[in-house]
Amino acid sequence: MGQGAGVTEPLLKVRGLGKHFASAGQTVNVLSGLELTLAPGESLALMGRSGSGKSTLLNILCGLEQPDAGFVSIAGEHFAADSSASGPNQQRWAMLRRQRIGVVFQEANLMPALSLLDNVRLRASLAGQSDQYCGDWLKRLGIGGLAQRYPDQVSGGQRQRAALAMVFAMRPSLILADEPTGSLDARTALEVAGELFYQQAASGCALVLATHDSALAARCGQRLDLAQLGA
Amino acid sequence: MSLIPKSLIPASQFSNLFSALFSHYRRHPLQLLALALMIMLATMLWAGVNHLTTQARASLGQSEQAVAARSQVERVDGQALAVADFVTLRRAGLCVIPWLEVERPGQAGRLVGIDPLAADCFAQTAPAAGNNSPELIDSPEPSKKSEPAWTPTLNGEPFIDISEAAALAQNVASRNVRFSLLIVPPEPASALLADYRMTGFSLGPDTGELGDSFLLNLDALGFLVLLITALLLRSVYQLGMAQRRDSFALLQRFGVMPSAINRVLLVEILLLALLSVVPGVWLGRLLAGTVGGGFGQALDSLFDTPLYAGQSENWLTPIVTMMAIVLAVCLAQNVRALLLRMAAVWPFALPAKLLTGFGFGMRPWPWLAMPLAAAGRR
Ligand SMILES: Nc1ncnc2c1ncn2[C@@H]1O[C@H](COP(=O)(O)OP(=O)(O)O)[C@@H](O)[C@H]1O
Ligand SMILES: [Mg+2]
Repeated sequence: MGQGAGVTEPLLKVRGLGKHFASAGQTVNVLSGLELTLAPGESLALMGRSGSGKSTLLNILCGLEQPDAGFVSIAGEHFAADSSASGPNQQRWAMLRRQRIGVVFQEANLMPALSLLDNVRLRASLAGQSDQYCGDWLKRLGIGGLAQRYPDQVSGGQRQRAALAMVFAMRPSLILADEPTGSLDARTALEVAGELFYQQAASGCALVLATHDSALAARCGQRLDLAQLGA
Repeated sequence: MSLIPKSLIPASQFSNLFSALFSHYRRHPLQLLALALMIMLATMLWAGVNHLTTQARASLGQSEQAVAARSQVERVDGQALAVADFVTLRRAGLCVIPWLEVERPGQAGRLVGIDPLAADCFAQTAPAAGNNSPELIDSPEPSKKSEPAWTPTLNGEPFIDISEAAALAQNVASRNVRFSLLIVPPEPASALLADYRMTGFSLGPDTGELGDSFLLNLDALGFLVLLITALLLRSVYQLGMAQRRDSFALLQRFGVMPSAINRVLLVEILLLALLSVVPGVWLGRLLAGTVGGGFGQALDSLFDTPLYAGQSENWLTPIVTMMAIVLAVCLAQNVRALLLRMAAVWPFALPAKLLTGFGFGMRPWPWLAMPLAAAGRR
């Protein structure tokens, strides 16, 4: 479904995207007239200081927030701002998140009452993937020995590795990562980011990475500075 | 019919989603145990009390019928009956029996004086058999109807001759003496003289009113038990929900529709309720049976008649009722609002206020739930 269309069409296309919030009586324009194009396998770094709208954009790109203006097209599914919140569109977004779009946040990516392995299995099964390689994904990300541990029994870096294992086990077309190494110390952050780029290249999926670390941004094919855009 | 529409989540993934959500209780088994025990306890107490109430209601109904089967005569003009009335009625061919009740202050019990000769026609027309309720007055076998010596007993105490009772009545305040004329209802009823009318005759205290207030108390007890356990249950369930909120958000990020999550939670609470309510009803019956013995004796001595009729077999009503209550309590979002509305109705004001914390400037849920939360957190 939509796989063939990805060859001729870009995986991700955003046109004229706008989003504002009303807070304390005045409206804040977070995004306006934003344009993006990303082909399968490409990577894009979203940059900008805190509050520049990186998380807002990623949430719009996976349907968890609705834009006020513009148009988003992902993996052959098209969403216009005016009808984005409708029931059928919410179901299409849910389907995309289940099967095509892997999302990694700064933290809290794992079900707290499931072991690391069961977390990966759950994510794979929701995406319709066999769960027989889930243990392998944990090994590939260097935490094969922690499969039976619960999220609160491992370190922050190990939790983020498990989160990456979950995302890759679903075999996504697009990964949205919102400062995935933001809560880690510098050395662990470098290791986890290395895994992310390595597995992304190996699996051929596209990546949108929100980060304010310019070293990480430099490793992406494209860069978009939201702070400059808004200013 | 599939519970989960395909558009929400494929049916094959229902069990994955269920076990993912249920994992919370696998990691916090004490919380699950607390929920199950609370549902079971609520069911047990409510079903037990309800069972007793139903039995008592049925039994009281029966005994009231039995009492109502006796009739007495009253004057239409409201005047007290006198011996002359007895004579008038007997002359009219009606079967009446004088009944003089004398309470003796300082001495236990009362004496009833009757006229053994007048009682003769009474014995012949004793109330029809087939009434399985206890007889208030022992009557002889129909074959012995020719024997004039009819000696009914009340509380095992023999009746005395009306002349003896009249002699005793001389020394007693008039408010402690009651003169009645019992009557065998004539056929047709119009045969009764125009100056008189028939009413029900009962012995001692009015069992009707006593019984009603007794049942009302039982109902109120059942209601309070249900209210308190239901609110405890709700607070523990809501605590679990609060702890799981992040998981729900995460599942939504994984592409699970909120409606699918709600359906899984509904199935979860239905299963938990069913598994706890059924043993709860069973325990409630056990409780009612155990308490019912001593309870029945208390009722018997209160009303002079055996009231506790034993167990009946209705399982469906308590199970369905409790399931509905558990679902409503756990899933309804506005139970607090309902309680606040109830607080406006005075009989519920205090319990409702206590339970909502309304008017006390505090929220009671966290306090009620704290010991259980501590247990559930391991
Ligand atoms: N739900 C909301 N209501 C009001 N303002 C919001 C909301 N979400 C985000 N914002 C505002 O939008 C701006 C962008 O936020 P965010 O996308 O989280 O930035 P970033 O991820 O780049 O730090 C911020 O100024 C924030 O205050
Ligand atoms: Mg952010």
